[in-house]
Amino acid sequence: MTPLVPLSESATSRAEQLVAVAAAIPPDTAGLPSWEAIRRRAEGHAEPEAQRGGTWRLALAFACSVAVGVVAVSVLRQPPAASDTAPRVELSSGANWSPGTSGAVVLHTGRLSVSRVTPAPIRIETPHVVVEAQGSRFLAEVVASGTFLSVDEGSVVVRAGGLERRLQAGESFTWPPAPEIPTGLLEQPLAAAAQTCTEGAASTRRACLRAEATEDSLEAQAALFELGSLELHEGRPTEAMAAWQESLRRFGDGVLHPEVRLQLVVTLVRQREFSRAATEAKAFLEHCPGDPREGDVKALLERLDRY
Amino acid sequence: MKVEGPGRTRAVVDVALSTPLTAMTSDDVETWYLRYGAELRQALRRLAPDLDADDLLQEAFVIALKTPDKLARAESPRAWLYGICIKLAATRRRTLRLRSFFGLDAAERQSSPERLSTRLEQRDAQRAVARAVESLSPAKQQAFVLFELQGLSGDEVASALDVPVKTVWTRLHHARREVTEALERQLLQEARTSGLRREELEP
Repeated sequence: MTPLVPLSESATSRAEQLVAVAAAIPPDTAGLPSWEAIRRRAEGHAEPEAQRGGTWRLALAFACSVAVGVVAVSVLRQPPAASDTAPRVELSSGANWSPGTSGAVVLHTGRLSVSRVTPAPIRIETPHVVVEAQGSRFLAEVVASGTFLSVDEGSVVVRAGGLERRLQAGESFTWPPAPEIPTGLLEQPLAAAAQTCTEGAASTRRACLRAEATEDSLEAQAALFELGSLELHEGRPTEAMAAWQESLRRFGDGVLHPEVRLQLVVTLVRQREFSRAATEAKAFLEHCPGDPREGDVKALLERLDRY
Repeated sequence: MKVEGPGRTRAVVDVALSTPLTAMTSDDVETWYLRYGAELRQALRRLAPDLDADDLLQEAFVIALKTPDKLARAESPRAWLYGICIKLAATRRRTLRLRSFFGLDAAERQSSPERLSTRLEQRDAQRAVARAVESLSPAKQQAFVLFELQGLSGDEVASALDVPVKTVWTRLHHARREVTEALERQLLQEARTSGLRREELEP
């Protein structure tokens, strides 16, 4: 077998060109675990397993920009000589933050982590919650639909919606909670699976369903619906929704379009994409008048409109 | 010597550290981490999107820190590190399957996906190739990702996978055929749904 030349240097067909384009994508350096975290792990002071994007590691003084594009801030409550007792606050590239009153950090969007246990207290304010912690390590992330908190060590107090709760190590918390989905929308749709694609590993079934979906028939509709269900089951919600969107593009008036629309709505709510979920819910009401689930969709839409 | 390609660099010869075997320190290992950490993570995300790439990367370099002599002796440290990552991913998968079998919590915290390129063309290519690659057998997948996407040489792939170079070429030959067929099916399907006529697909 003769040595091959990489497709990045020898692509001719469009398929090969796709590989060449993918091969040219440089590695993403954002959020790469810090060397110190690895060294500590090797010494037995293990960081917990990476959560939601891995271990963050930066420590900067006030108003410091780092060439790699990550900005971190150290909340100092003591004179510089005592900075080794200050919490180590690290922010992801692109995080939008500002200093608050009394030394608080106001996180508007993006991710923040407190990666060093110190006795100094720290207060984080987001558009949704207020977090107070002392002697703990935790991660906070703010997106349009809410704030996510995850505690690695120690405990934090979180205040939101008039409630107060103490989170312990290993616990996570999201606020506001996703709207409750009416049970009528959670019933499993009738099995419309392409009967020939039920065996084998996920990758085999996936390929089978894609092949079935190339036709222009009810079987193709069913295959796309099942493909989306398979992708969702495999933890690939983006791919699931892509399959359902394709189904609506190709079979917008097909027999299965109400079920497809509902799957999209429910999945978007669970992904906390409330604005898109509301759009899809309205589309369901427009395209499926008189559907028995109309009332449930309206109820969900009312809840989504509060976000 | 390095061959500069469009948008990336392919290392033809991995220049080893000029450090005596017995004197490999954690600083030396850190140098390898700074050089290859990001690309190893990229490879892990491509080979095992269901696993926590950040955690596996850390574990790989913990091993490197604890066995610096092996890293120093490796003909290609880069290939050695890739090999460690692949073995760790396989072990992690087996562990998760066992836990799932016994009804234990097998949920692996997935690291956040590789930040998608802002270029639409790259984004689409990344997704399409990932779909095509996941249908390969593990052996072909590893060979394909390491050679075609990560830019390792045939010798480096052989070293990383601990197989003869001829085996690498054989696996690549089959993997390439399967991947391009899968991509062509995807392209055809997209063309159908976008309304392109078949003749417009022909170059």
